[in-house]
Amino acid sequence: MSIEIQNLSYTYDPKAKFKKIALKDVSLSVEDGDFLAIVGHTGSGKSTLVTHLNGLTKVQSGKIIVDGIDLTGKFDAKKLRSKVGMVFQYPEYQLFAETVQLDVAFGPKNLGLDEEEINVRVKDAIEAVGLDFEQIKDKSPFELSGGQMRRVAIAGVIAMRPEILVLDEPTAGLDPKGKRDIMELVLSLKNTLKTVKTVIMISHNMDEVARYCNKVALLKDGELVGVYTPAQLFEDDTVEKCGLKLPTTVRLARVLKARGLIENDCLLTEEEIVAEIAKGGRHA
Amino acid sequence: MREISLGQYYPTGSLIHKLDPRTKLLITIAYIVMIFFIDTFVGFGLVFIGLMATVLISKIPVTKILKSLKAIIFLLVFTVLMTLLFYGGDKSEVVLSWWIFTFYKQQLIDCGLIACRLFFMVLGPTMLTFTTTPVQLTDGMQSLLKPLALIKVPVHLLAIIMSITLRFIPSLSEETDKIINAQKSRCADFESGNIFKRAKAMIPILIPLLTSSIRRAEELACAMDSRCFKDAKNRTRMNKLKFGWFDPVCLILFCALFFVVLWLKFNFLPFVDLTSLGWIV
Repeated sequence: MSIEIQNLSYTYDPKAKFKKIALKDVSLSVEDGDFLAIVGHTGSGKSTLVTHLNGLTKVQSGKIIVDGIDLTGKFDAKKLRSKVGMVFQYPEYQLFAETVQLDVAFGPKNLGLDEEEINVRVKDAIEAVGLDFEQIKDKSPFELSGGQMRRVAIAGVIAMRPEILVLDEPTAGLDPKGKRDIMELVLSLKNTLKTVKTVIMISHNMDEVARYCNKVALLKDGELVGVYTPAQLFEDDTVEKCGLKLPTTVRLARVLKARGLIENDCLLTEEEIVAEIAKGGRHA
Repeated sequence: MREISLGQYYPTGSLIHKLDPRTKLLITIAYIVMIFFIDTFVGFGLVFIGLMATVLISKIPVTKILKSLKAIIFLLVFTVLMTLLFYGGDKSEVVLSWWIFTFYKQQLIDCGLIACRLFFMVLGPTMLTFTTTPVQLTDGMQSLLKPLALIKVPVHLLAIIMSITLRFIPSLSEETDKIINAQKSRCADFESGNIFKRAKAMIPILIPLLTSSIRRAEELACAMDSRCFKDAKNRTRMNKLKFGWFDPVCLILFCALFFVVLWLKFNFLPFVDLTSLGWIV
């Protein structure tokens, strides 16, 4: 279940006088088990890139192969979309059904599954996002809290049992606790659900990227600057040159290192920085 | 943000585009009234000359204009067919008799006049929308409706409602794209099935769109309220409407055309008797 993107380019309105180039010659491969972050400044082509992955955006030039399905020519969109689940920004705004159960069942129903299978999947999905199935299934999605709505929307995608989960800024518009809860949820979906093997996430929040991802693709003006591990990426000022901030932990560690309080400055999680400070304390 | 073309504005920067929207609105309204007074081909010929001049000055390609007429072809054919089949007027002069159909002279003339009337009726307002942006149109309408404020019609509020509506169209269209993509990702199928199935497939788009418009409206209302918006009575505007030299020229030319049309219809000038010129009627 891998994704191969080769020399992908995309232009909005190719006929228009002023072409808007969204993607330029992007090549990227994603393997099983990856937690890939796609980062870049606003308008760098992140969303265009991910909507290619489940065939919402047609390939103009270049090549994409998702688990053996070639997206260049004609392909079975239903099959592809059951493999690549897409959670858009503010997914709670796409809820529509009378009850939570019906809304989550929308995807599986469209896949043409039988009723029994749909019910099992809906129950599993609602529980997987940390909600109480019995308590919530008959409620209207519109009477839930914002956080619950977002979970239900994610469940709607999970219920299709995708192998690749794509999320466009899953934590946008949430408070710090909500952000952490959703990120922990995504991580637990990846680790506990057998079906979700790979997660691809668009993010503006470098703290999340540093903490949760194992690979980062950095985009700038539609071009792929490079694919890094978080440790490589936050080693120098590459992200800042692309208009993004370094993770809070790295910024703190750099200040501390400049004052000679610690030795290492590429610290990606709070735990790491706490351990480093404790170690540094002993030297002092 | 993606650019969304509203209506069919076609910018060329011509004199017609630069006309004050009020001039264009007034002329268009009077033009529609005028079309109803015309019942001779000579009259339509005059209107055609006027319209051709407008088109030439506006520098809009003729093919572009003809394309916008596609929508009324059905209506045109339908109306003409109906007049041909169910004719109850003057049946004195038979032009053609074939199988069970008989065509009369007056019947054919009426058909032609109806076709002309429809054609010109659509063409006039089309030229207005080709040369005027929706924002200019609202500004013009607001300015023309100003006298209604005297009888306590809240024109300023209507105007702000109109401009907010225009402002929201691109946002909602963007939102619609997003929702369609999200439901497509869940394998929603909008393209197959009969008409009822397709209508039902729209529900997952319409309900989120409805809730999000209500949400946006509420947010905007709160934002306006928190900035002490009370009414728009004394609002000043950035782009003031101004008459240029071409506005009176157009108005005068149009009035002249209208006068001739009325004369053709009512024959009110004492020194020339139109009835003596048989070819006109």
